[in-house]
Amino acid sequence: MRQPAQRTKKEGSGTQGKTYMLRLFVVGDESNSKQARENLVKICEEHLKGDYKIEVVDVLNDFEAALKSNILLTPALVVVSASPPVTIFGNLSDTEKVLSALGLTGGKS
Amino acid sequence: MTRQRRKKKTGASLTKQRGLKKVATCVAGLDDILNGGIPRGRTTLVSGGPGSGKSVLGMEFLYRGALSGEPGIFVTFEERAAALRQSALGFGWHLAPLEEAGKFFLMEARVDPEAVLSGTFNLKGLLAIIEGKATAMGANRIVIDAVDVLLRLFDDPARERNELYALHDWLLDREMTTVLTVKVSKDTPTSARYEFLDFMADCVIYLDQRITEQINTRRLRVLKYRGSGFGSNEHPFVITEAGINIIPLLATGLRHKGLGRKVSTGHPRIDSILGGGYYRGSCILITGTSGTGKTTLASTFARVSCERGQKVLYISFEESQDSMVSCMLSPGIDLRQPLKAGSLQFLTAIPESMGAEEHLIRAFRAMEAFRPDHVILDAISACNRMGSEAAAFDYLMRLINACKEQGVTIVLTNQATGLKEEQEISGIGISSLVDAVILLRYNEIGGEINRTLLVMKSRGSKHSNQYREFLITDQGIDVVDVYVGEGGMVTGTARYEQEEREAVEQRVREHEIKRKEHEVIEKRAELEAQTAHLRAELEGAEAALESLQMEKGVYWRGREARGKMRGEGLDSSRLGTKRKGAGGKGGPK
Repeated sequence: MRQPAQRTKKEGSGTQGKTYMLRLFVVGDESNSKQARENLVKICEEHLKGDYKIEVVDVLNDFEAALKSNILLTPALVVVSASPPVTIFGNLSDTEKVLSALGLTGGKS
Repeated sequence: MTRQRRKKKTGASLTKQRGLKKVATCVAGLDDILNGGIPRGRTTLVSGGPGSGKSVLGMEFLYRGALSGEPGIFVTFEERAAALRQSALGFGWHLAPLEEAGKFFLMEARVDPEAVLSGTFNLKGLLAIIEGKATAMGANRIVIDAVDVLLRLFDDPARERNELYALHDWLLDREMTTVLTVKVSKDTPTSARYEFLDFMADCVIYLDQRITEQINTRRLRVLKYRGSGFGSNEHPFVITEAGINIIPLLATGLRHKGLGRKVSTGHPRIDSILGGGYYRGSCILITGTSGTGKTTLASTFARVSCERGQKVLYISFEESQDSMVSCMLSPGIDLRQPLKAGSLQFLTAIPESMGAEEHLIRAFRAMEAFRPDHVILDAISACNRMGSEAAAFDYLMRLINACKEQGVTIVLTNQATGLKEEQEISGIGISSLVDAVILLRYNEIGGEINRTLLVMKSRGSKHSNQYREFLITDQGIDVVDVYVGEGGMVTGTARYEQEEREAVEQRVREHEIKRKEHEVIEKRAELEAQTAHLRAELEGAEAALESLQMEKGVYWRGREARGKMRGEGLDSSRLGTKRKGAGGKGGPK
């Protein structure tokens, strides 16, 4: 019964690149999901310079969406805008791996 | 107090028993082994090597459930949904209509190998999906196939275990009847890594597939069943074109029906040798070396039984139906008619083509569909080629048992390899199940081979102990009368010669007797003739003697008379002597 979709959108300086469409699958308010949400916001703030769009899906409310994206493990982040879409499982604590999956390897260094 | 305690205990165990409800799997034979089915609302672990039939077992459980209106969810971590649908179709299981009707849900839960792992995660997504689907469908049966693939993602034994316990708890909370399959290595029933699964699950089934002598054999074993009894043996099973089929080795031999009435063997003389024929529902073994007429004898029985309106299932491991039919035409046994009429059915297969279980299932299926009165198995010696002697023994034991349970007569033929049939009579060690043994043999006498037949054993009836000569003619089989001549039994030409020789001797003897009889008559006639002659001579002599004596009397009377007249007594001594001598001579008259 959490907010089903939390959208965070920021119009920022760099509009030159594509917009990252991100879908985060969480399970209610269990700890891993909370952490994932926090980690994602942090990464996005730091590396995507506001050029992103996050959709949060609570699988407890919408299992069909999880089924469609084959989300068996949670939390999970799907980079919808990438082709093919990339799936990252886990609470996103490993920033390097997330950046690499977003195609921003070594972006921070 | 003790009584009270005991009462309490029984009460508790009763509730426990009552608490354990079972769900029939409807997998052929499995429910018998599990005393009813798998535990309801609990987890059953099915482990086994790759290709041992775990997925098929799970799929069949759900499919049969769905058919009877019980919705089920199949979660696969390894195979693709399309591939599973295809293989299900191979068993004749049409999943699509059930999926449309909401009775079956196939979830391809493959984790994208390209997926990135970052930080900790758990199975909640999967559980949410299952829960959502289960609620929507009203399903409480679930199969989670190849859970090991899922667990491998965690890459940490401790986490694997935690996640699986979480999954298990979750399933228990929702009272899902679960089948969890896990791949294990071939050598050990459960690898150390997934040993905890055994402790966790309420029921553990292990599937094993091994190759013995190039033939695939499958075994199923129940390792544990909390709160329930189960058949703890290894049970052979097969995957047929209709799914899994397990043959429980349970009450084997306890449900045999008694022997029935006698039925004709197809030849009146063999009937009489056997004391009336074969017993219905008995097991008859016809044994002998190649070409002694085993198949002919068995086919005769088949033909005659069909004529009587009974049904015969002919299981042939030696020849095809066509070749059998044409071979039997030569001794005048026409099997085409009963085949056409549907009273005779052939079940032919090369022994090597499949494992013993599969052969057995085929036979059982045929028996179930055809309901024969008699089964002929030609030949048990070929069964050894099903893999091992143990497999052949298993096959025969179960087939004979099944026949005896159903009151079906079973005629086995056995090809003995040498001339030491006596030792091989039991074939593959099934002699205790065999009620009658007919030994067919070759006898070599005087440069020719003849067939003989001997009933070596016939339970429950008198039988002849004589070897009989047994012929295969254009009009079928025939048995020659018991040989009552001198010496041991002889057959064929030798018997003919012997009989001829004896006949000649007999004639010679008779001739001699006749001759002697004549001689006796002649001798007697001669004797009589001579006797008559002698008597005549004797009579002549007697007559002569008499007349001489008469003459002598006349002489003496004349002398006395003359003496008296001439004055007798002058010389008395001389006279006395003279008289004395004359008196001695004439004394006897």
